[in-house]
Amino acid sequence: MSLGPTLIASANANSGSVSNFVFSSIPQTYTDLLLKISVRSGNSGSQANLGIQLNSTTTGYYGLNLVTYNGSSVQSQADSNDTASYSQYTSTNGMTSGIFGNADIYIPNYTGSTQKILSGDFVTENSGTTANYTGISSSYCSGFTAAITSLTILSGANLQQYSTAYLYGISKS
Amino acid sequence: MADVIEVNCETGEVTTRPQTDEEIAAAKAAAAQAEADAKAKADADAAIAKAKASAQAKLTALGLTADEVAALVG
Repeated sequence: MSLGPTLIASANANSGSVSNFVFSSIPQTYTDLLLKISVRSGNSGSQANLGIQLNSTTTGYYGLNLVTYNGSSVQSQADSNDTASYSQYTSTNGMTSGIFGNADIYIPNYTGSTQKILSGDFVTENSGTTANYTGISSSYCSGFTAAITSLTILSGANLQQYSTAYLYGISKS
Repeated sequence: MADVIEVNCETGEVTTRPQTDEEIAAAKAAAAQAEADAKAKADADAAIAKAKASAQAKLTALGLTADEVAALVG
């Protein structure tokens, strides 16, 4: 097996907007997972939360932290007990047409029995017309010790047409 | 809300299906969270801008030039 990253699966909304992407029956043969996401939310705000759910679980996403820069100031945020890991932002329908937000999210030791951590970076592209958010993030999914068999990608509204997500597996040996 | 695209990573099968009740609830929570976060960020941005303007005015009153104020506060 290649050490990776090895493409496991991809999802796209090329036929029109969708509510979520779900990667199910994730093989348990890799060490870590890597998500590469390029989506635009139907939200009309200056940014939308980009959320990840593990095994369709909708509670217990604690200790979420992010540091963002919007072109003028650095900000941080900590959430607790959310319904998903909302540590990333993405572009919205309130931004320049055809622009997507991009994020990389790394999930180490996804088959293990320890609590799960997600780390990532993101940018909400907007062609420089208004503030863009650039950030780094980490999510601590307290109490979530099950092996990850599915990942759900969602935002505060529909994922717009041509949104895409790629799931990669990475092996350490 | 639109349908869900589910990709079975073992078989490669791509399914388009309606949202489950849990997914609908999660989407509503996400929308509410996004709205709250947007308001918090707007409030934070406004507070920073206000503090910056105040600092610039005080530095100018102390006799700093515009370039010196810009170097300090931006």
